[in-house]
Amino acid sequence: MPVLERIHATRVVAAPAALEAVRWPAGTLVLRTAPDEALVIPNCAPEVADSHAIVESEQGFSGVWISAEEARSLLERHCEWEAPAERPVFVQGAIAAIPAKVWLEKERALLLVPVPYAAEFEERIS
Amino acid sequence: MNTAPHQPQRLIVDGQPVSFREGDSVLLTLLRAGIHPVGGGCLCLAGDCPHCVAVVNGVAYIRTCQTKSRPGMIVERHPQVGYPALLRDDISIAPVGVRNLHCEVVVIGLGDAGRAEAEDAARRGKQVITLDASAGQEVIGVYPGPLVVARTDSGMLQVHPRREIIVATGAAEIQAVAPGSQLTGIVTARAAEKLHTAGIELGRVVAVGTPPEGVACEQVGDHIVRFEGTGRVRAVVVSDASGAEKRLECDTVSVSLGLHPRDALFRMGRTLNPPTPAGPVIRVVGRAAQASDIPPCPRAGTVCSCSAVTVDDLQLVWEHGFHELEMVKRATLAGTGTCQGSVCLPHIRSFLAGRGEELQPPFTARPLTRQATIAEAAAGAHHTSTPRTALHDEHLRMGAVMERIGGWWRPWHYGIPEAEYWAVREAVSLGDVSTLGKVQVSGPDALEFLERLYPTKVSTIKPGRCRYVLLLDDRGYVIDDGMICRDTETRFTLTFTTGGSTHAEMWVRDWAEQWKMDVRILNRTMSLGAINVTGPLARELLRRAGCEDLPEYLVQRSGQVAGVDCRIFRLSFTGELSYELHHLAGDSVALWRGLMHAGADLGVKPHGLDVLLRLRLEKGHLLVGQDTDFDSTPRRLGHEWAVKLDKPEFVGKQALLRTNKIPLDRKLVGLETDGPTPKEGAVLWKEKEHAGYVTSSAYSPALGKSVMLAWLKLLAGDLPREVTIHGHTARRVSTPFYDPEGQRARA
Repeated sequence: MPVLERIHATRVVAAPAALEAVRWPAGTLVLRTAPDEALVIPNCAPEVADSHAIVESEQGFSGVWISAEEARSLLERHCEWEAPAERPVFVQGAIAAIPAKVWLEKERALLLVPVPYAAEFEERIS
Repeated sequence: MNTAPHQPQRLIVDGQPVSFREGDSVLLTLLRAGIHPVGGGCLCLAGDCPHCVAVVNGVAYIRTCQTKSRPGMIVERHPQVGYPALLRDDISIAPVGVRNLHCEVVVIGLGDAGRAEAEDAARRGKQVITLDASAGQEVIGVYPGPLVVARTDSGMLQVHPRREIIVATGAAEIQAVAPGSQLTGIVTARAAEKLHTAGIELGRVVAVGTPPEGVACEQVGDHIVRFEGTGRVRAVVVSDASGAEKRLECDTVSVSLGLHPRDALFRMGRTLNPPTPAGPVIRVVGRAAQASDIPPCPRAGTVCSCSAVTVDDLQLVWEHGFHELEMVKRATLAGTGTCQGSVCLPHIRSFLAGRGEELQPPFTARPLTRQATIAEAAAGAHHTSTPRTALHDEHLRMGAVMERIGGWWRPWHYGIPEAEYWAVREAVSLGDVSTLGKVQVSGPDALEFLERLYPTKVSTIKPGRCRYVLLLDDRGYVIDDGMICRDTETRFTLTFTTGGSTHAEMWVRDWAEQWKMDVRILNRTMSLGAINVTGPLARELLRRAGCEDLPEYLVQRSGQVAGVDCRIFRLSFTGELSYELHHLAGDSVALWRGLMHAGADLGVKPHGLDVLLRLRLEKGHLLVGQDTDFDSTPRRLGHEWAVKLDKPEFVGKQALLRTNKIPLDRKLVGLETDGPTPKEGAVLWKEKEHAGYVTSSAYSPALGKSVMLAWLKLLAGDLPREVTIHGHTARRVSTPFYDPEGQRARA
């Protein structure tokens, strides 16, 4: 299993309608972690039409891209919940009893874990 | 061409090599060698009974009839008296892996009925998983979820069916209960057929009930009076309807007294069935769904080999008034052992029916149906993970002893706590406080929301300023504390205790939702690091680290420290001049090292929790969860000053107005003693009356005495001025113990 590394991202919390309307910079991956919240990779400066939006640099997650087969095997061995069959899809839940987020594409997947849990996560899945 | 000489394959039985044939189970290998695994008892060769269990490769209670012989396998028979060791020092227990599989339908058992169900479901387009013990997938439990757990050679399977569980596990043969049933040479009819097919010599066979197919035998009726023999059966005595007995000499007795459904998994899981038209979650089909044959009422002999329960034992509990099957099970432990009632259940039902009771339904089945090792039971399970701050490795590098505190790994000390203490009090020190809860709240309703949430007047906090706050529940009890820092008119940073931050975030979000507040909430606890720079030289250290424009007490501002962008909060938990530097967690190491480098000649040292807890105690700062109880109100804590009852509604206000009318019964107070430092939890006495207990205690090097926070009862309407702890006098004093005017923190 590749080593997780701290990622540089942007966290945006805003009114859901404002979040829907954001034109994200090209090349960013936007993960909707909640109706009013997005995690955007890599770090960027999006324009959000909500004067009360919270837009912050985010270094609280470690991540790694793995192959689709590695992701399937990981989820099968360490995850009780069932990932949707559709691709791409974003899922969140416990993997090896640690909170995680997974962006599943057809050929690969991005695995994200809060940095404070990353070391123990690696120990558990190795 | 393979010219290697043929080497017989052997396993080891009780220390002796025993040859086996390819494909033989361990039981067949033992029987070919003339060994009965447990020294006697009817064999079923179907995994139903407990009469073939042995220790295999260090694991006890393995059904040898279901276990393939393998070269070098270590087989040990269970002791004739007592129990096999469950844990052996000489066996290393490897972790057992788990696979989670998802489907719509899971079919357990692939006999005719199971195969038909699986095919039917597949035809209907359902995603089906089949589990069959003969294919090495032994189901050991059905749980809510629903979840079906099976053991395989390669680890545990956890199957999560979305729609249905179908139990098609067939039926077990009913064994005989009669004197002598623990002899060797007694087998079920199906077992006799298998042994015959395997080429094992059975000798002269007497068949009681339906005879085994293809086995030459003498057939007699189905009422067994007793088995005779020493070690091995030599004769069986049967009786007819008139009671006339007949004795038949033999080498093997084949017993066929009917069938008993293998429906334990269904009985275990049927509570999963919701009373809805959606249909059952679990179904039982085929022979497993049919009623059990009921054998003749047992008169003598062993009913339950697993728990050594005899007919006499059943009679005894019957005479004591245990007439219900579930109660008989509890009173005798019959049905709680290795086979979980597979052998004894029909006989106990018959026993009770024979005493005038109605035929009672089978008793409840509970996981597990098969013995599992600790490693198997733990497969896929994890203890709660303990997060690490971004400075974890830095702490280790500096020799820190780490402890789990408040749900995080934190440095307890770095080798010499006294040096850390004096660095804070006399020079400057760094503390990793990244674990503090940090939540941002923004929005047009942010002020209104926080006014309703907190008992302080949030509107009086000016932008750029900070204030200590209590967090109350709706009963007026303190559930956490921290700071409110007002960033702008409509944006705030809230801090919470390390241990309370997760709950506090839920609390904040729940109320925002409940009140339909237009706010945005972001938990930054894991995203931001925080370093507390504390001590009389803290200002000097930060100046050396490039930050000249430092905030006043209880003020915050942005700035760069050691090249790292920080939000600098002027707070104090230690009682000294302190700055809390919040920054992106990815910059923590650079900031820490920059500060350590800049302060090298100032005597800068890191301090751990051991010292921090002492420092805060000297200041009388309470630790929520340690100094507070589940019903601690601000009044009991002496924190009325943090509650503004003249402001409009806030969470807990009505409860406080009500409980404030009740006379105070106890209070958190400061105590000091010249005696030895009592342990936290030590009891306070006022003469012979229990007066309370210590919540925090430490020796204060600065004050030269021990100081405490303690819950002290009001006795005769007053707080005692003195109490005794382990015979030593402790005096009640006001807090803070150290620098009561707060001049050092405000310096």
